[in-house]
Amino acid sequence: MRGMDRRAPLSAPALVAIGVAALWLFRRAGGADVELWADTAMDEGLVRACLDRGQCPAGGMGSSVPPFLIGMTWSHLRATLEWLGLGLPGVQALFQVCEALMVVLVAATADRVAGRMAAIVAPALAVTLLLHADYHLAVVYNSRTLPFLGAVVAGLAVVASEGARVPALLAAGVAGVMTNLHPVCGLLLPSVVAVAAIRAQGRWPRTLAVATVFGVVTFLASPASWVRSLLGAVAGGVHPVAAIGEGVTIIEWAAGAATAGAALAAAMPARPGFDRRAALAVAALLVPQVATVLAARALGIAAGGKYLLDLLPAIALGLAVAIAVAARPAGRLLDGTPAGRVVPYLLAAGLAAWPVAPAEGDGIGRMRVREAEALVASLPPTLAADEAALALRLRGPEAADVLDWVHVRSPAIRATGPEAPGFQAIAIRVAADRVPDRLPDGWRVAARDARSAVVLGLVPTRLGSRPPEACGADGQTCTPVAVRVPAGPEGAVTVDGLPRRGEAAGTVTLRWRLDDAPEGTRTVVHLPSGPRACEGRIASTPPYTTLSRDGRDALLVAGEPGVRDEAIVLRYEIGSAGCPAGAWSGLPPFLVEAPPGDAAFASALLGETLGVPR
Amino acid sequence: MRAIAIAALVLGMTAPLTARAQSADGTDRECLSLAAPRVLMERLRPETGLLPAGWRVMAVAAGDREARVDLVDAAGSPVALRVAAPRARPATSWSVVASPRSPQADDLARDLAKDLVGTAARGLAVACNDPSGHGAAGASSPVAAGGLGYAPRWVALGGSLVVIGLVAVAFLTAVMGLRKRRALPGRAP
Repeated sequence: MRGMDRRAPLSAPALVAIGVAALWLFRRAGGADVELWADTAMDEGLVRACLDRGQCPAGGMGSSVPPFLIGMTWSHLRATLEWLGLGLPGVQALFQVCEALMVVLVAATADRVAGRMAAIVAPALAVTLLLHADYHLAVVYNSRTLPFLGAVVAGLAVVASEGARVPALLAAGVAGVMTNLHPVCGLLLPSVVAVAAIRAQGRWPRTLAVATVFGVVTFLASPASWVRSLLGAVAGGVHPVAAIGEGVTIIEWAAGAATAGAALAAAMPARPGFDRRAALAVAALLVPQVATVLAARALGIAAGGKYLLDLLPAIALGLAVAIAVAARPAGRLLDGTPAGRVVPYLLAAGLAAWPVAPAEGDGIGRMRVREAEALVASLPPTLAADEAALALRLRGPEAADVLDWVHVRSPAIRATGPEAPGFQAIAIRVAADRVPDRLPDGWRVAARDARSAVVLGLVPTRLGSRPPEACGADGQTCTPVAVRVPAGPEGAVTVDGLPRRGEAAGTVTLRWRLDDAPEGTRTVVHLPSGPRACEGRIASTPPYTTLSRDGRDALLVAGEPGVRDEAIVLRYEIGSAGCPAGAWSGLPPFLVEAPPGDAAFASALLGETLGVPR
Repeated sequence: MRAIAIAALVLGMTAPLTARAQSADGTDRECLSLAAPRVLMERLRPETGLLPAGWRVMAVAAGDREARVDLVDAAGSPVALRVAAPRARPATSWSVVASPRSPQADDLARDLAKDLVGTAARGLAVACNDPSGHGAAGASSPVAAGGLGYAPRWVALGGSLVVIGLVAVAFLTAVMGLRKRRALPGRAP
């Protein structure tokens, strides 16, 4: 039939094959265990408050664009999934299914817009972008919902570009839900309205209905957040946080290219195998948000690829459509041909065999929730039950995150370790093959799997019995800090007198008073470095101290009895290369402070060498 | 399908409307109930000197205007303090009653009541008036979130189930629409 396009869509078996292969890919990339992040712990606190006390927050968290708050949809969704019996591992599996369905939707949408070649290119691009984006496949957090929902909106937009009303309204509704998961998705409003206006017939009533559905869903899904946000914006204006300081990401480059490509493709004459209106719908999805994010980048305010996660499917579609239109002669070999029926299975095979990059660090990434719970279960019960003491005496690169988790989950974790009054707990996570066969006395493996292990040492401390003092600029006026433990599961353990996590603070000077020890007792203090460490310098030491040249190690020798004012002063420059702002946890930074043998063992686990003699 | 989609939208829109933020007399009740345990925990830490030697705080629970602190004394016997929060801020009259009474428990109740008028009232004000939403817990402050009030559990769960239903309907609509074999008019060769 002349002027008609009767290509068969991707078959159901082909879509299933693509979905299964994508699920296998994301399972390999993200794993079954959930990473322990402060946000994960905070979400868990809100879930517990909602399910255990019936107090489900009516407003969400602060966003990068104060005074706008994130809607409550995410915390309520997490609570609902928990109520349905999906714990964190279940939610992780659910997200991996959604990510696989995202790939399926991208394939089906690209096939509809520009034919089989686009249907092969777009999923591959979507996977590439997702694996390179600021998107954490092992973390359960609100952004994990966005690519899948973005693919749903993109699919609906393409269907709606044919003039269908229900898909247009559903796209507006889903976009409204997304806006309560992350406010940047509010920029989908002009997109869904523009999609509804592509067909001339009934344009105005339809666009009005779409805008109304978006507005109503957005507002009523989280009224308290929006009232507070809008009143705050009217009263005090909008104050985006400062630029993140990273270079332009691959996602932003791809977004710009996809927007231009989709717009150019939409301007091309229609022809068989290419749906011009659908290409216009893809361009409409991209333009408002991409333009805004790139403009924000140019103006030096909050920007970055993480603000385009909801558009990743549309970016992949835009690029694939442009490629398919440009390579049309080659694409004809796939449309309506036996080869075109085979290539989706080749795509599935490629997805199944997709190489997955190793995790950060030495390939083990961050501590998992399962490991943190095993660690806490290995602690002395009196220490595990006392969060204020734990804030000072649980030491390790990820102690702050463990403490966050203890705060929200402690009733459910039964600590059974041996009691060790006056001891500290040093917890260091290493690759499993780095754990020596024999551990020193007081040390054991608290959690282990094929990839990683958490090594725990119960070691004497001279600094753990009382909080440090925070000193003024002169280094002389010092006040003891106080550990603040919230009564309910919401919130995190914080330390009054120290900058909060994420707070720009400059120099922090801490004075630790040493507990008395028998004369001649030797104690090593080592200030670790590393990607997540806030590396400090020893600014002042008690008598009888050997200090390393770089100021990161000291060997303290207890003096004669009666000397009561022994103290060590440590200085941290938050925001410096050794202590990036993201490494400041709000608690006293991790330091190794132990008898020389234990300090040497802990430093070796950290991959560091002591700068003082043992 | 269309009817399901419309029903899902209507339900989704109406469910969260019952979220409450303020009591009838204007007191920010939820804020008070959130902040009071924090303040009490802080003031009853050993460092403040309020708590008699050997006493320990076991738990703090707070309702809209009343908090209860469960302690054990030096002998290990339970003691409860009932703390009646003032009806409005700034706080000028906190009532603290110990049960069972004893000279030490009464002293603690009296000292705590005095202490709450000053220090704790400032703590409450800070906790309840965090304008940035970036308060005590850093960039994601649940205290700020809680300050907006709470939705009952059935609202949260029901609303989320509606959202899940809406997304499922939208996904199926997209897949079916994309796979529909149709002749597309107006495509010139």
